[in-house]
Amino acid sequence: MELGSENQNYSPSKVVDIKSIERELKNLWKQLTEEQEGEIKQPVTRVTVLNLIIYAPGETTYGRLNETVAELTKHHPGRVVLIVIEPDAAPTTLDAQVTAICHPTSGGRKQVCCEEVLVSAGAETVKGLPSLVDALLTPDLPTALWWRDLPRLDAPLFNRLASSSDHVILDSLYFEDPVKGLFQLDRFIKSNRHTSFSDLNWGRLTPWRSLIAAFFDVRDFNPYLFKLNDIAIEYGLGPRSDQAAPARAWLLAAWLASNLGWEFVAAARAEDHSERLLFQKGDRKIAVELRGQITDETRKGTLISVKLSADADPPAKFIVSKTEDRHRFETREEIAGVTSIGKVDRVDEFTEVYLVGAELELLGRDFHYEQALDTVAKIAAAR
Amino acid sequence: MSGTITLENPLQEGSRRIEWVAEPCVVVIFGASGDLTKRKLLPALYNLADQHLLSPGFSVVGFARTEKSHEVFRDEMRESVDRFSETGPANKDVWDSFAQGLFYISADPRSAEGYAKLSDLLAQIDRERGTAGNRVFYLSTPPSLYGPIIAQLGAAGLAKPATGWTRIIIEKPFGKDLDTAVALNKEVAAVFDEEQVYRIDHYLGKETVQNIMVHRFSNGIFEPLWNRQYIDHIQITAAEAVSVEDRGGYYEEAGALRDMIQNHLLQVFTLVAMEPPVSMDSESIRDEKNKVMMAVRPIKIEEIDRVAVRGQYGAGSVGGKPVIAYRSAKGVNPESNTETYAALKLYIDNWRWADVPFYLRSGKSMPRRVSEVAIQFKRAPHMLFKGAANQLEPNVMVLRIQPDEGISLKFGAKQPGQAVRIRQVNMDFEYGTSFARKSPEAYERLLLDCMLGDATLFARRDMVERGWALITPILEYWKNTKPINPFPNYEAGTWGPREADEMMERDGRRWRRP
Repeated sequence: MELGSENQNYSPSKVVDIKSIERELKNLWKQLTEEQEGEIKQPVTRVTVLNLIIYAPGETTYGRLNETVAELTKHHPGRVVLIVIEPDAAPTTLDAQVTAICHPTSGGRKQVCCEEVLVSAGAETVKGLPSLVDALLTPDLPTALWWRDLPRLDAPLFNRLASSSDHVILDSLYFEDPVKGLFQLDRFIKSNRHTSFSDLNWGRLTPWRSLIAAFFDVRDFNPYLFKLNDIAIEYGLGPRSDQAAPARAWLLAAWLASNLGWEFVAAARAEDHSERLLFQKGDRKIAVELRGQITDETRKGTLISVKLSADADPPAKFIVSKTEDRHRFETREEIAGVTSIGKVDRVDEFTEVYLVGAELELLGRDFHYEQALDTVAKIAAAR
Repeated sequence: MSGTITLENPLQEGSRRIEWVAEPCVVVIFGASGDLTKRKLLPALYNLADQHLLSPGFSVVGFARTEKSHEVFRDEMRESVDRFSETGPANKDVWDSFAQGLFYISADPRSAEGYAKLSDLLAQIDRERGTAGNRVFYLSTPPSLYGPIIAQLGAAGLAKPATGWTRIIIEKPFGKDLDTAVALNKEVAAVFDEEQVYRIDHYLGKETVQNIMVHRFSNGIFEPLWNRQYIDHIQITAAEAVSVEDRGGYYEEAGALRDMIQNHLLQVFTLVAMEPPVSMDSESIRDEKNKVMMAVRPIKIEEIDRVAVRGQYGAGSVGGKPVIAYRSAKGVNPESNTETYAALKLYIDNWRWADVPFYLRSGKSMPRRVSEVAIQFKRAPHMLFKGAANQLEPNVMVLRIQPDEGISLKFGAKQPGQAVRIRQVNMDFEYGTSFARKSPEAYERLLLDCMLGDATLFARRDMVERGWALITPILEYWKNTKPINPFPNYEAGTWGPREADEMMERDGRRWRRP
């Protein structure tokens, strides 16, 4: 093993039962210190701050996933249990491989290592997976499940793994019917209160929410927050005009409504496939439109702009938009039709590592997400 | 720490993901041509902008004597950010947006004319960039200019304008002794209200210093032990490996007691010793810190030689590199008696800490740079393992402030085998390996807190004066007497003078090797 090199994985060994796995893990730690070259042995530190179960079906995705896991463990060291269902494997397949993932730190003076147990299962042995995973979890640490697949909320494997976890990370980006999917997710979360949930799609909304909220931290603009009456959320349709509004657009609209105490009144889908939602707060009616724009395929499902208008004296508009090259956000305010100072913000790179890492930092219930989901569920029920 | 946001913004409430954005404001930096602006302030402000924490209209006005245009100032600040920002060179788009808010005034800080220009420029910025009369005045000048600048701000009507809020950040040193600190406080109070005044101590901006409170008050297991029943003594160390280098001229007027102990170490000392506050608002926390200072036993003149040690490094080597003696450094009097090392023993006369000594030390040209708080617990009351008695050391909890920020606990464990042999082991938590997020740089944290109106991490007037009241008699005594052993009395690259070890040995203790 070379010191100072990143992401060193050690020769995995094949074992299939818990005792063997734990024995192999112990041997791995011994191996890490004994096999160092040179006379001076650098200390190897085992760090575990959490258990991370990753459900990643399909052997073909494993290669890229290996890099993602290595990056994640750099910042969230722990025991990783990686579940791969191999569709072409024999149905009775159940293999486990133990690997250490090490990262240099402190100028190369130390190696920080954590463990990965890769479990491969066939169609018939899937049932036994949850009990195997349960036995592998390090005690007294939070357990997060990253379901790296279309969330199948009624699947026994998902339910069982979720019940062993303190926190589940999903991605509503993949819902085929976003509104229906969010509605089902809302019901699932409400019936599983002992577990908290994250949605990577909600994480993608963080800069939008942050930039929108920031308008109203300004003393002069704050009063407009309570006079908003028209919201337009634009998203990319891709080349076809009949695509449904993406989950992100729904979640953003629902976030505004739930945080600002707007009551849902009615929803309608227009001929151009845009969604028109009506909310009410006291005497004030607030119209929210989710509006698609034809774009190229790469912008399909992404948010393009959010415009918030306030009917006040003078009237005001607050706009957050992403530039065409998607590398920057631009924000501006228009008061009485006059554009005031704008700002440019960099767009963070939303890789899987970034998004999942952000969720692992928070671990715990996100009440604002749950409230937004509840609002989407009310809209879905009324449609 | 909680901010003091007064606007209602439900879109921000309760969200762990979204951080508070400062209201649009102008930061006016007096002494903008200096090193602090280039190395720390502008990089910190740029990083805040890059993290989306500043409003669109945020602006900076550099105020200094050197003649230059706005454009030249912007170019220079771009170079500073590229060079000194911990996150690397500036992103072009973010910089272009940020730089539109950078301005410069060249003027004499003692002359009223400069403040008239400043007033006009601030009004223009308010109109064009929507900064709504919100100002932070940052005094990054030699202390001799603090009084004149404050007076001129008052005379120009800039201290308490009709609209917006105004705050003033004052860098250390805040006075040279009790009299000058009191005098400076009076000058400040004549122009600003105390809630407008932010006395900066960048140690308080360090994540690990803030973690002292989290460590104590969010974990149920430590606080019951945090008192005289279980703690034998506490050592607070701030050691620097660097020598005085080319700052001899400044250091001759300062010395270790003024430069490090009066401010940084006393702040850390109060955090370690304070009672739990009733809430996390800035005044509650600062009240508790001040109460610690009120309870510190004053040091009598006749006690000083026993409880305070001074030292000055001679030639030696640090990290294998030769170091010249302090007296040979540029700007230093060859017969200087300025201390480059100081150690102090303090007692706090209250129920929690009676008879528990706190040992504070700081020095230059020490073997390595380290700042830490080491809490040494009392030994086990009854030694069951008689054969292993001489292997057992007391438990020590170390809060490491820098480097390798984290916390460790030393305890005894049995070595495998038939005999009972005990070995000391360390249970270790390191920020760097346990958390994904990079800790914000101290100045980023402090500048943003000031803009948000949160004074928790800034020194209050009473605490500053009490710190000087404690230290000033020692400074006076040292000024009027010769060192017990002539200077230099420790070699560069060692942990300080023999007298410091003797102070501990008289108490049956010894200094930790950090």
